[in-house]
Order: sequence, then C-alpha cells, then structure tokens
Amino acid sequence: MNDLTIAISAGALEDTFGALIEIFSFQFSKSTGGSVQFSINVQCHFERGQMTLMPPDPASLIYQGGYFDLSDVVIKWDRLDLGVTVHIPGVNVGGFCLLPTPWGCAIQIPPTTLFDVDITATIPIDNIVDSRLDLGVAPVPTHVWNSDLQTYQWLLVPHVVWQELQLLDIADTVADLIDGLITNLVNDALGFLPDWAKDIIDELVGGLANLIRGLLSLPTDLQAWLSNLLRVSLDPFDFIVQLVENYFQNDLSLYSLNDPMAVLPKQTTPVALPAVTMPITNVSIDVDATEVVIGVTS
Amino acid sequence: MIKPGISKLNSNIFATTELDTSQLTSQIVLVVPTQKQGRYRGVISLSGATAATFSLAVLPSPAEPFAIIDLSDIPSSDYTFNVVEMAGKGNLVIHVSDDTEGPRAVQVANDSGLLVDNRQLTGNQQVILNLYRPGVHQVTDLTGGGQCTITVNQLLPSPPPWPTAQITVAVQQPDPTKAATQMVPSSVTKSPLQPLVFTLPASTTTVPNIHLVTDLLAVTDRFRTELTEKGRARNFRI
Repeated sequence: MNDLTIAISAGALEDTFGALIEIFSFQFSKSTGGSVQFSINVQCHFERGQMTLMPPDPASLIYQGGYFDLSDVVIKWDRLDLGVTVHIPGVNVGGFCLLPTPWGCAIQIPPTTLFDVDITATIPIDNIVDSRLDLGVAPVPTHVWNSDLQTYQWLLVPHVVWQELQLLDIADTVADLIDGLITNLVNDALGFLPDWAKDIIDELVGGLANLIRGLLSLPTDLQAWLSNLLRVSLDPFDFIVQLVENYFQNDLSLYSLNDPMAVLPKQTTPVALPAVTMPITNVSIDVDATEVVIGVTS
Repeated sequence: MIKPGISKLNSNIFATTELDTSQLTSQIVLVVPTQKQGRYRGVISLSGATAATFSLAVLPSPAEPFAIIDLSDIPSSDYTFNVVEMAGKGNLVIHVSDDTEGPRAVQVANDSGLLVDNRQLTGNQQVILNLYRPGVHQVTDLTGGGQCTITVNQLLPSPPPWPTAQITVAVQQPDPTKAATQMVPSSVTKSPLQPLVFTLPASTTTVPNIHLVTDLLAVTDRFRTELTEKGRARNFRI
C-alpha cells in the first residue's frame, strides 16, 4: 500500500513534456565514402506534437506497460545541408603527334593537364525535406544520488520504448535543387576563371556540368534518389533517434522526489522540533487515460 | 577515389596570355633534334637559380626516337634521359607541366658544345606555342624582327568540335647577309585549341639565334571586343 500518492494530469504532463522536447537541439554531420562523397550537416530541434496517455495493454506486441504516446513530433531543421565532393579526373589540353611515321609517332608532344581535382559544393535542403517522429515513452522510476543537493532522489525518467519515423516527404523541386548543386560544383571548379576560359574548358569536356552529372550518375527519378541517399546512405534519422533516447534517459526528469522526503520542516518555536522526513523505498507508476499516478512507499 | 590536397586547376594556362621563349611556361614546348652521340648535362633554372639537373644520353641506333623532358618534374638529379642520335630522327621534347612556381630556363650541353639553350634557340629546333586567349596576338622574333599575327577565334556557338590540328609557321631568314627574319604565313586564324608550330631557320652570323615573344593586341571574345594597351600603342585596328 502506498504511503503517498501523487497524481499528475494529462494536460500538465503534456505541457511539461512539450516544453522539455522543444528546448532540445543538436547538431552533427555524416558522410559517405567512395569516388563521389556525399555528406550531411544537421542542426535541428523539435516541435511538440500531440501527447496521449496510454494505459497498460497486456495484448500489445510492442510494450505492455503504460506509456506516453508522442505523435507528430516535427523535426525542425535549423540547418540541413547536403554536400558533395567529386573528383574530376585529368582533363588534358593539347598533345599531338608532331611527326607520325608508319611505325608510330616519332615526336609526341605531351598535353597539359588542366584538371585533376576534387570539387565540393554544399546546398541547403531543409526546405524540401519534411520529417516527423512518433515516440512511445514510458516513465521509469529511477533512484539516483544528486551530488548538487547532496541527497538521493527518485526521478521519473522517460524511456523511449518504441519509435517510428514517418517517411520523408521530399518536395518535387528536387530537380531544381540538383541543378543548383551542380552549378555550385562548377563554380567551385571554375569560379575564379574568366568567362572565355570557362568556354574553353566547356568545349574540352563537353560541358563541365554534363561531366559532373555523369560522375554523379544521377537517375531520372531524383526524388527517389535523394530519398535513398538520405534514408539509407547518410541516414541522419537513426542518429537523431539515438540522440533523443540518450537525451530522454540521461538528461530529462519529469518529476523528482528527494529521498528521504521532507514531510514536516524543522521547527524552532514554540517548541524546537527536528524535521520530519520519510525514507522512500519504492516508487510505482500507473498510467491511465487521464493521469499518471505516482505511488510512494516508505 | 577522392584525392586530398590537389590543386584545383592548372590556372596559369589561362592567367598567362603573353609568352616568351626565354621563359618556358606550360604553354611552350621545344622540340630539339639531337646532334652527336654523347652524354650531356641538363641544368634547369627557376628564378635565376638552378632548380634541377639531369643527364642526357644520346645513343646510337637503336634507341628511343624521342625523350620527353618535363622541366618541372625531373625524377632525380642523376636521372638520365635516353634518345637516339640519327639526323632528323632523335629529338628532345622539352616542356613544363606545372609552372605555378614560375617559368623555367634550360640548358643542355657537354664539353663539345651546346645542344639547346632556350634563351638561344637555333636552326632545326621547333617551338610550339599554345595561345588560348581569344583575341589578336602578335608573335615577334626579337632577333630578326619577323612577325606573325595570330587571331584566336572563339567559335560560339560551338560547332562541335573546335579544330585542334596544329598550324605551322616558318621563321625564315630570306637573306643570310641581313639580320632580318620573316614569318610565313604572316597571319594565322585558329581556334583556342590549335597549337602553333614554329620552325626556326639555321643559325647564321647575322641571326645566330631566335627569340620569340607574343603580345596580346586585342581581346575578341563573346563578352567584349577591345584593344589592349599594346594594341593601342601599336595603332592596331580590329
């Protein structure tokens, strides 16, 4: 039997949880290997979605205990930059046989190598990628030492018990975006040259933009290509889920109780009395559709 | 694979619009016929100081018909290039693949005499100039005064492909008693990708060597058409 029972309403929890989610922000970058290297540079935060309290369900295949269902948590990109580094192989100018003979070239004039270079470009894609996250979060009582307060505490720590990333929605303007990426790559390679020199290089390589398109091996379906690149090759979302889980379990507490818990404060008048405290041996959590009940046992 | 740390582009090719055979850059190639069998010492200068040395072995047949010597990339100071000695068959091809540190000079000689010195080019040697900048260039032999006007046309919209075949210009000394040279033809029109091959006259007492320089007199690309300062100074008309 509980010595103390505390109830927190669904509305109060939603406000608290929503505020805690929205102050969380993070950044990281990932990249692929190979002859064409893609990278992603991410900085983002969350916008709260809806929260529903889910009572225990013994028939559930995923989690049978009570939990908070956080749905439609929006991943807001403060920065989502897609980078690409391409190696342009040697492009030669000149070079010819000055004296051909029936047995081969008797005087070969060597060409001059114009390119043998890596070029890099980055474009923002935050405005074309829309992602949302659904989370099941169970409150788990945890007994820890608080060194700042010099006391033990019982904390209500949210544990992610399941998560689902809603599929990316990539805007159909991705073709324009890829055009912009290639333009940036061309500028990285040739930006410092006068226009007449760019014309000569375009003549030599049949258009540098075309050459880069060939090196990137871009398919017709650019939306599927970008989706595959983001969700399979670069996959920032798996990392985001890991960061969320770590944040919830290591940095968040929905509720805390000092152990021992102060019941009555120390009194000096009219009679000096020591503080009355209650040690807590166990904390239980019950989730129903309207509230979370915290049971405290001494 | 991605190679880290590679320079972006051999940009000097486009930065240098005027050439001088006494200062070898990536737009100039020398073709030097071998003369006598023997071993030679090559000395490459950069900014007036010795930058590299090499050995050259001119051998009896059979041997390599030509040796390509990259003045900016000599493998080691004791490296030996081999080439055949046969009149009209053995040749050195001297070029600078990377001139970002500056133009080079080269001298190849042994105790019997000089095989080549780019500051004293002589007969039977050939000079290949690559002029990319669209416009009107003037090639001048500073020794004998011969000139050739080179019009580099930027063919736009591009008829694929631009011509790339080399064009030959002969530097001649019509009268060996007079210190005057001429170039035949005296004017050439070419695409940016066509090299110019200058054949040089035999050395004489009046014209002992040839020194070619180019001057850009006018720029005529699809973005602008105007005389350069040199073009205005020489009253050149477009």
